[in-house]
Amino acid sequence: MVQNKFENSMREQLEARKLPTPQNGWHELQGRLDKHDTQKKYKKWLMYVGIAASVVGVALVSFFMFKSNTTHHIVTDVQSVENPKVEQMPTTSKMKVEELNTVENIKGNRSLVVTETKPKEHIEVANPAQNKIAKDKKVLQNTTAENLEANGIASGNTIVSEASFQESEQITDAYLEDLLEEANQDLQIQQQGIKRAKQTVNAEVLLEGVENDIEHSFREKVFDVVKKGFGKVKTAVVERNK
Amino acid sequence: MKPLLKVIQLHKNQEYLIKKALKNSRDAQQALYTMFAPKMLSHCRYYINDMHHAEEVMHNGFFKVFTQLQSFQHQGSFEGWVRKIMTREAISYLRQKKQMVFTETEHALSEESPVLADSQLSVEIIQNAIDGLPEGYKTVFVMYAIEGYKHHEIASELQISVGTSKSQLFKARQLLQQQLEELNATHYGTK
Repeated sequence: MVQNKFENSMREQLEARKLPTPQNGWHELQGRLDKHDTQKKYKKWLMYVGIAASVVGVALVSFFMFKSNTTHHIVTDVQSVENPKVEQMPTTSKMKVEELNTVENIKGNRSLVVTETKPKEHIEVANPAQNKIAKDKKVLQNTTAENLEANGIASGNTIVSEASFQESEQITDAYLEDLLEEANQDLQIQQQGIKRAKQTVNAEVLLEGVENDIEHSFREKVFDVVKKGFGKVKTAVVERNK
Repeated sequence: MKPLLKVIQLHKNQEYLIKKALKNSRDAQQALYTMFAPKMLSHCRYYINDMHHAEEVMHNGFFKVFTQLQSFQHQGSFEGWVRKIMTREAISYLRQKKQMVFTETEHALSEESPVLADSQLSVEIIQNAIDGLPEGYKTVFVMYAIEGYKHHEIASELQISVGTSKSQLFKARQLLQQQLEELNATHYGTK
């Protein structure tokens, strides 16, 4: 109790004590506070400048991104438009040339056929008697084995040629058209095969495609960042005005 | 009624000054400084023997008070909050100067603490007696006996164990008793 009393009285005496402060004490403290405030303001200013710079930077980056995107698109469009022209032109020309060739060939064949058939027709039309004779010859050739053995190859050839001539007699325009169509289809198939063989994977085009896909999402990100920055600036300005 | 009205008036005035100081009004800050600085200098002087260093610590404390005024919750008294800041500032100063050393060997406390004689001594004599204590003893004694901290609070503030705090207080009281007895003897001798 005595100890408590003494300590209490000591406490009371010490707490009641007031020591004189130095005269320039407040001015020193004020100087420190002013310095702190200016540093704080400078930091705030730096923060605002940083935010503004980041917003401008983002805007510039997005602007350049959009610009590059549009140029890319134009380039890709040009490629997509030009490439077929560049690539298709020779193919079409080739096709045309080939078609023409085939047509010419066919025509040639036709003409050949015609030239081949025409004499037959001429023969048939002109000489029915000779046809009969030929038939008779066939019979004779069939009957005479020796003659067949001796002239087998020649007679066989003549028979085949005669059969082909007979078949060629049945060639009509429709048949020719069918042939042409078939030839066209074969050519197309061949060209497709050649195209597939020639088709090389263009890395740049692939990359551009992928980048376009990515750029879409990146654009959204840029928009988000700009929105955030704008929101920050807005709140900062509102707080400052408060 | 008049003193109560004065207290209310003072409290209202203090609240107003705190609000103004929060808005960075230098006048309000100066008013608060002039209101509390003498007390706080005395408070810092408990811990720090040198008056200039005590002033330096007080200024650092006030700088923190004004820069961190927004963290004052208005739950306790403003003076108590300022005192706490000053105490922490003084402790950190002593730590920086490495003046505060605690003997970690826990003293076997006897049941009876040393009894300090109930004598009417002047504040200067008391302060001198406290100044004569080693830093570790002095800090714990001031925190416990004058500022009213509990041992666990002292332990957490000074980052020591509760036992060390108790032993430091015991030794501080022993030493103070000796010093005051000597002072009493000289005091009475001179009279």
